[in-house]
Amino acid sequence: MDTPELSLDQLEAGRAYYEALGKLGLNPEGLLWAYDYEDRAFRLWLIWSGIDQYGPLAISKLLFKAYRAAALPRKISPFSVHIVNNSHVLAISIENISKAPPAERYNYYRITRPGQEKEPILFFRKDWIYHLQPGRFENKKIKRDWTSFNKNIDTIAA
Amino acid sequence: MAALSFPTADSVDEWLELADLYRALARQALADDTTASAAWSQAGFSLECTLKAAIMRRERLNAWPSRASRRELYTHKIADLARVLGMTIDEMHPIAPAWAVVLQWWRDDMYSLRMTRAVAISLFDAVFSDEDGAAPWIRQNFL
Repeated sequence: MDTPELSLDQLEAGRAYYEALGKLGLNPEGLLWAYDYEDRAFRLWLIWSGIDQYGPLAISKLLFKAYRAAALPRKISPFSVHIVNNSHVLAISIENISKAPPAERYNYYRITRPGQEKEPILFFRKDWIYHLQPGRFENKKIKRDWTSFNKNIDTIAA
Repeated sequence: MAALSFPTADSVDEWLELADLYRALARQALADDTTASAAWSQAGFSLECTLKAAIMRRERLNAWPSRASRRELYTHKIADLARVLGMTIDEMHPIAPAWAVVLQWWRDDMYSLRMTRAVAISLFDAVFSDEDGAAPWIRQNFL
């Protein structure tokens, strides 16, 4: 099976997405591309613990609103953005790679029974990570970012 | 121990009854912090049943096809069932934000270690909100 490759265009769009999020006031704990074997597509993983307080739907609504107002890069559909908190298995796995030996790619496998072949779920490379903040942001910062993010998107979309 | 299997139904009404049952279970699970994360599974099952009802209506099926004849219907994947239904939601669609959330249903349920009550409520709303939830829109447009 050929190894799927993230295009340079996607890599640059992801960086632009990260910068645009910051300008809008949302500074996530992590942002990276990962290849999803089941969907056979690259997903932009947004790691932000604010999801625990505000829920994925409220964040999704803002990401779509920003996309529609062209406040986030149009090259990345909000359908491709997967939002998780920093206790999600992938977030933990990414945090662990800083301690892992250097590798061409980092695979994440489905948990299987002993004797069964490991089933890959996704993989990522170190250079696909735009940002990774170890640990969890304080609630005060999360709330401040959320307020700015809402306000800035509302202003742009108005 | 006997393996549990997802129930099937043989008519549009039966699928919708199951969808309503799972919705009630999801609402019940939400009432308690210790069971809130289970609400997401139940909400996902409810949406799955709604999609299967819509497929039956659209294809004018008199009974739910066997696994041998329609293997693609025997899945929990919301995206795959929506594809069979011919449902397309683009970025400008009113339910797009909720749809983006429910597409992750099955996977997040399996791989997320913890879920707060706020997350569970949000996921419930993505499926059931009368304003912009996925299930009411499917019922309105396909059933």
